[in-house]
Amino acid sequence: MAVDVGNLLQSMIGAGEGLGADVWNKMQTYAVPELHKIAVQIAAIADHITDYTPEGAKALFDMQVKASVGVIAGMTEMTLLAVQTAINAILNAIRGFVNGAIGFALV
Amino acid sequence: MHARRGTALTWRQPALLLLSFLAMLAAACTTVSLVSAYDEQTEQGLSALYVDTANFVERMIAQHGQPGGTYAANQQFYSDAMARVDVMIARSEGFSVRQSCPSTAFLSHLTEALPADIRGRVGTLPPGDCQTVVLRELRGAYGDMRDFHRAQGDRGIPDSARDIILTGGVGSLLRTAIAIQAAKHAAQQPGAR
Repeated sequence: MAVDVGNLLQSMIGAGEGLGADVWNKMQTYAVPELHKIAVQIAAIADHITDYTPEGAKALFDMQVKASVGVIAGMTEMTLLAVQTAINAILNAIRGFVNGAIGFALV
Repeated sequence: MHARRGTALTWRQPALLLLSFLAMLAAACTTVSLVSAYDEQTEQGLSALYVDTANFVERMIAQHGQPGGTYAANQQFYSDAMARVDVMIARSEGFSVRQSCPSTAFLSHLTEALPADIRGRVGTLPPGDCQTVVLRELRGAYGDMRDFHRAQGDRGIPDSARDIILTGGVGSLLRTAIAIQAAKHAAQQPGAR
């Protein structure tokens, strides 16, 4: 049984477009290569199915599903971190402006 | 004279108002926290776990088909690995600043794209912030690895499973969790943007 890695990856990437272009673009540098690796491994389970018991193959597949969900959650965490860094940079700029205008360190 | 003073007050009032607003904003929000802070202990724990897992898989492949490579002879590895991840989950929950991970929308899109029989196996996101979700999935993946090893019986872990476990699966989750800590560490460095 052959699995088309390209189609599988495209489905995963297509699903990510629902997040919005900006966020998804930021996530692509890490998420897409990692999801590609997972898609290749799902295909590899099918390619080597005779090496595994049916229960063993199912456990390996479930492991790849968890990895996919984990990569998405991980990318969301890193996106939130990027947003946090940007917001705090703006707050720092405001702080500098306020303290500069007042003439002493108010904030 | 009175007219000049009136004009000055007219200009100063909005400026003072804006300054006060900015001061209040900056004072109220000295820093914003959307994610938990970098945790050195978790990063070191993940790196050590990655090395131990890679070594374990290599050892099991070398002994595959022999008594020393069966699940029965190696079940302690799984108990230890899951206990180590449990500690990381506890630390992550303790330091978390959010109650949930906003990846639910993505997961809905992902599951819509999957065949119906697979859709039910994806389920919903586990509780906690995104970092905790990654660690919970990692713990679950070790459970899948244990189930795989047990289901293989005397066959043990064949060579073809190396990349399935270490490049995808458990390995992918470990790399993701390490990447999160590395990104947080980098963001804490002076001048980070």
